Amino acid sequence: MALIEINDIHKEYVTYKQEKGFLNTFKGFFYREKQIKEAVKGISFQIEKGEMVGYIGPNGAGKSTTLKILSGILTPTSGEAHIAGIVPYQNRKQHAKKIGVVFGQRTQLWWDLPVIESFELMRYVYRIDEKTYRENMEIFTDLLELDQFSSRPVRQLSLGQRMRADIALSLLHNPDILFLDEPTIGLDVVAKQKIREFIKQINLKRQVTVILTTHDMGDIESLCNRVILIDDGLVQFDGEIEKFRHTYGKERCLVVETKEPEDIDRLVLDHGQITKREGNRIWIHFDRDQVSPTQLIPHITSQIEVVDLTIEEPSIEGIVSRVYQDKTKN
Amino acid sequence: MYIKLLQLQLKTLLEYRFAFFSQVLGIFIGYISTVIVYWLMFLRFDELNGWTFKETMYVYAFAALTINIAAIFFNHFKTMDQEIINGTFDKYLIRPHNVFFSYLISKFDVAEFANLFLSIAVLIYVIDVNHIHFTAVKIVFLFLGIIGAVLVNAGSLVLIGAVSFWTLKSESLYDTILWPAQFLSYLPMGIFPKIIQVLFTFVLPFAFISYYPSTITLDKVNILSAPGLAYSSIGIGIIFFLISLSVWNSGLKKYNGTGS
Repeated sequence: MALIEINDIHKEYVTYKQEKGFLNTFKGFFYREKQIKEAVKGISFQIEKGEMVGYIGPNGAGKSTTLKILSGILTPTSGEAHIAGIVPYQNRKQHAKKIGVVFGQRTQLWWDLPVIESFELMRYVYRIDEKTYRENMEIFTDLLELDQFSSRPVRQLSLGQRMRADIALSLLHNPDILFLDEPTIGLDVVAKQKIREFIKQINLKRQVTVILTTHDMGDIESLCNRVILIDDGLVQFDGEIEKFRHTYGKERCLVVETKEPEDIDRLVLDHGQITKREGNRIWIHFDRDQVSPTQLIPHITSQIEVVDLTIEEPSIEGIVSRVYQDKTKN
Repeated sequence: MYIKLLQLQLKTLLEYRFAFFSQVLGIFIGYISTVIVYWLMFLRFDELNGWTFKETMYVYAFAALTINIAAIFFNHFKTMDQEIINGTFDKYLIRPHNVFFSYLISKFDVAEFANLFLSIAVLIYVIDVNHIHFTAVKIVFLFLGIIGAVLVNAGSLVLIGAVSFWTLKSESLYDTILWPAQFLSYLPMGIFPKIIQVLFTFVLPFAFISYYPSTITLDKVNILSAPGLAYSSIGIGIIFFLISLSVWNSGLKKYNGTGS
């Protein structure tokens, strides 16, 4: 049995319609029209121990809702979730001991006090024994350079430092599963790198299963071997990152540098389109299924004199943004 | 764990010494001004429906003490709506404890705790000026009365917190209902119309915050139309608190369902 198994999870929210106009606002005090919004419309997946899964999707796709169900904060409207044999929202307390949760935008650290105090407190909250606590603190200090700022009040920390502390805090009780909700939001490149490196180390050394939501595809590329893309409350893609690239990233880009800029005007293409032109360089986008580079390149070189050629793979970022845009068009 | 939390609260306090002292001072001024208002009132009447100035002060001191004790542990239930709106309430649901317990211990009002010494001193003083003769029974009921009253106060704070699960905005309830109701409980309830007395006995049991238990200490049980009420504060306190707690828990269940 997989470590995390969720089966046909649905989640509905009841919201109230807000009508415009003063009179309607007034009416709203007494009577409001109910609206049922289905945030999650039947999500199923399985995650094995030790996996690092990127959970992506546009804003409002249902990512946070799923994460909240998995961490036991929300009860789904229907469907079931089992994590290590426990139903998270029914056995919340038992479940809480096995998971670590980080909400990127809301710290769990004690705002006014030095970082170290929050760690001390968690030691009592989770009844962490002295030895485990000391070992973990050593590891975290080593990997995250906590000692640089552990005696400073949390409110004085930079966002990157705070996030490092938050992640370390969530791992203090040796959880089996770590849920990260946008762990690199608002961080600079170096801070992101540090966080990614740390998550990678923890996953490697302790076999901690990691599920992270993010809008930064760099996180996915450097950490995850698997992506689950959800949109509109449904799983749109679930599989290895390479397969993801393969499925959605059929477009390639050929960059051609010609000897004479005027040559470009003479070029006639059967497949693909010129998307950008800069001096004597052009960018040609083509669908790999329609034409292969081995067909396309001779077709071009037979017409014009080429100095240089490169083929660009699509970035995950580019693929995702295209997938999101296609969705909104529909 | 609780001790550790307490330490942290005290350390937080040191970060904001000025805010702390101004809060303590504010509470102190509140005390003094109430006493002055009552004193001015009693300059015009010798008695208030059979209650002397000193006896009224006892009712006030008793109420203030029990409100104070409840506030130490439960004051943050008043501002629970903020945590729910900001989404920080979620953190109590990922801890390996009961959610009510996790939230309860998350804060401890140190300024109210500092104020406790003043409340106790004032109560001892009014006991002294009223020349109360204590018997064993009266002492037992004094303590039971305090516990019952603290539970009524705590229950009403929990209830306000519980409301925020449904309306997301509950602090205004404190200003519009609880605070004026607490204010009424400072006075001997017998001076009010029957309807208010019934309301504050059976609906919101605020008469148990001080009026009913005070009648035992002040040997005034005979003025009550139902003397049994004076002895039932502890029972009423427990029942009211348990009801509040169950409302809070059903609110939590609703929160599990909607999470917003």
